[in-house]
Amino acid sequence: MHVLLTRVGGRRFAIDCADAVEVLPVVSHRPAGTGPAWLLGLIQARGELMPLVDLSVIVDGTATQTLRAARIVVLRLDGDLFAGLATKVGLLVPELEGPCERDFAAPGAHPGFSFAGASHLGPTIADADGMVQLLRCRRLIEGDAALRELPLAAREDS
Amino acid sequence: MARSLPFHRSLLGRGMLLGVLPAALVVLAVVGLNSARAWVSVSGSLEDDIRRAAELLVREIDARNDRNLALARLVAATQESGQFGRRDEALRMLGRLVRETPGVYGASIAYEPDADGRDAELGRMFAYVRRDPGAPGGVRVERLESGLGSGDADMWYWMPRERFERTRLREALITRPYAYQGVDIVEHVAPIVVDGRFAGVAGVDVALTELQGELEAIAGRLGAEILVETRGVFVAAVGSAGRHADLRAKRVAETDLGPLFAEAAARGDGSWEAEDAASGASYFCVTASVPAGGWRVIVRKPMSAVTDGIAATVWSNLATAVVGISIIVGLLAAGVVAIARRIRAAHLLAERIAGGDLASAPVSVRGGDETAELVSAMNRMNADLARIVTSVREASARLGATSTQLGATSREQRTSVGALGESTAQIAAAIHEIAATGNELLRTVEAVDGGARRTQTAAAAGRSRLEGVSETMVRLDAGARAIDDRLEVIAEKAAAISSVVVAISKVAEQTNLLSVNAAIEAEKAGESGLGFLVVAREIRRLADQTAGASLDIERIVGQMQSSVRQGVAEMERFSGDMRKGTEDVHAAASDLGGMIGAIESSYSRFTEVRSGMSTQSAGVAQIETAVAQVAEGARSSAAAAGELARVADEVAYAVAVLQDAAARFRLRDEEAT
Repeated sequence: MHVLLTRVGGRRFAIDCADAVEVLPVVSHRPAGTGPAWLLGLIQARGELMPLVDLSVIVDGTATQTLRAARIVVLRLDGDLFAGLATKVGLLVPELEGPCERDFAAPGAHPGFSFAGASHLGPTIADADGMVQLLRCRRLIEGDAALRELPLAAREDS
Repeated sequence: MARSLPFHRSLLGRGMLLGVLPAALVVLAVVGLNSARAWVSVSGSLEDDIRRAAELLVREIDARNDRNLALARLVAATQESGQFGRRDEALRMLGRLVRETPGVYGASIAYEPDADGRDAELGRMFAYVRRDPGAPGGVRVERLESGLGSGDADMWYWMPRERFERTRLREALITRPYAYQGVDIVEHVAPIVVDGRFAGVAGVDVALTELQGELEAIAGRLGAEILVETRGVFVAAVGSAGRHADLRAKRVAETDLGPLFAEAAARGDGSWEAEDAASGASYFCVTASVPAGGWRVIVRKPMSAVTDGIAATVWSNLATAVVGISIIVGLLAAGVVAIARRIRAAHLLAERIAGGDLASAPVSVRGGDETAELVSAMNRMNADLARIVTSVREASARLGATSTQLGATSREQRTSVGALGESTAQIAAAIHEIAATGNELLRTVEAVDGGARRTQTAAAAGRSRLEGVSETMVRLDAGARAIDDRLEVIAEKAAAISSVVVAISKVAEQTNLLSVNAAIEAEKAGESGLGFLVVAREIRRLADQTAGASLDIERIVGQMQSSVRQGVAEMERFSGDMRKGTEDVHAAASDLGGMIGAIESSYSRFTEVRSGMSTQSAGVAQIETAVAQVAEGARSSAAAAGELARVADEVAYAVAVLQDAAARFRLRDEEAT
């Protein structure tokens, strides 16, 4: 499968290209106020407004340093996100590589652990540069019960 | 003596030909023109007078005839309106008419036989009343003697009867003049018509003697003849001193005036000039016809009466002109003769002067015109010439003496100039020796001067070399500054390269992003996107290489900039050292300059000595030259003295000639010679 590779806190992660819509340079965002730390705010990409989520906060607990190498990967997430309002989410990653071919279904791959709070972490494989773990992008937000709460304001008509 | 000239070339002759003759011709022309104009205008006005007189006369006669015709009609009318047959009343009325109407000589009433039916009782009515101062009441009534025949004397009766029967008009008529009982009359007659039938005639007579008397007065006033005619018979003919007195009631054709009336009848009213058949004299004639009675009037006047007055005027003008011209000729001739006399006097004087005779007495002149001034000017000229000749004689005598002295002096001078030439040659030899000694001394001093000059040259060379060093250092300083500037330029260029590198890195980054997105899209396309995936990967690789290369460039440029900064610091230090070195060299040059000044001052003193020596040498040479010039002057003086002597001889000769010429003139105090 084709994946995009990133590195957070010295660990390498892979994002399935099937989940990615496109990759953008870092753009300024409108802060979300005193919300959860991973929700940075809103960005505008190709005329669409979408939430911006910091991958570093989710997988490492530290905010991403927005250096020149940082990118935003626009993800298409089908599901009951943000009370069903958002279908695209911007994911801020510290650096990005790829796309490249990695087979996470190979016989030597580790299927990963299954416990609460780790549902977004998929199988892990080893390549020439070390370990790479596939990120389950749908689970990035779904995996945390708190994230499923309504970070958005209730719609006025609901 | 003056030659006698032909008259037409003398002054008087020319004055006559050019002044008097044209003036006389002009005056004559003016007189002739004026006379012609007077002739035309005067004769025209005289003819007009006669025309007007004839016109008035015709009107007067017409008025008289009209009145008399009206009287005849009136008498006939009284008969027709009730008086017919009342014979006594009719006779009384006729008597009153004749008595009370001036100019009427008689009146008559005649009836046709037994027209009123009373002929058996009273005889036929055939009554005539005429003026007779001797009769009681001034008039006499008698029975008419004529009227029953058909001749001229009976015309008064048959003419109106015939006219009435032919035209049925009750018109009054005038008969031809005829003599009735010795009185020449014309009768104005009118028919008496009763019940449409001719019943008789009423008539009024006029005696021609009366008319003739009135016309005589008019003719006398005009100085003309008046001829009146009707039906070929004279009514009156007056003027011309009674020549025509017996023409009254005569037939015109039987007199010598027949052709005149024939011509007047042919021309009709108007005027013309005609010759009289009897006398052959020329007359101015005017004719007009009188409407009442058909009379013709001719007024004529001899042409001589018209022209005589004009001729008198012309002759008097001509006489005045001739007298005037004569006076002018006389005055002019007198003036010209006087002028000619003066000019002749001047001419004689001039000829005497030309002949060398200045002794003649001045010519006396009277008057103040230009010729008098000419003569007096000739007198003055004579006197002045005499004075000048005297002066010339005196001057030439003095000049002769002087030229003799001049010859002697020039000969003496030539001798003394020869002596001067010898002394000058000796002086020149002495001076030549002095000049030789001076030149030797000058050469020695010049040798010393050459040494001093070399020293000075060496010192100057040292100083110029020091100046060269100073200049080199200045150039080095300028070079260091130029390098500094170049380094700054390099630093700027490096900064520009950095900015370009940044731009390149940005482009590489964008390209990288683009390739990632392309790869994502290709991946989504599955099998069909595989080829494109490879391309996208290649692009990404190139972008990454570009980014790496630009990082290298950035680093190198950074090193270059730091090197340049070091270079700038080094150059500044070097410039400081250069400036100090330059100052040191300047100090050395100024020391050397002082030394050279000292050398130059000593050299200048040498130069003074040398220039004094050469001045001395030049002075000696000048003296030599001057002495040579003196010698030359002496030689040329000798030549000039010879020339002077020759000139003195020539002057003596010229004076002799002058004295000869002056001797030609004879002055008043020399008359004896």
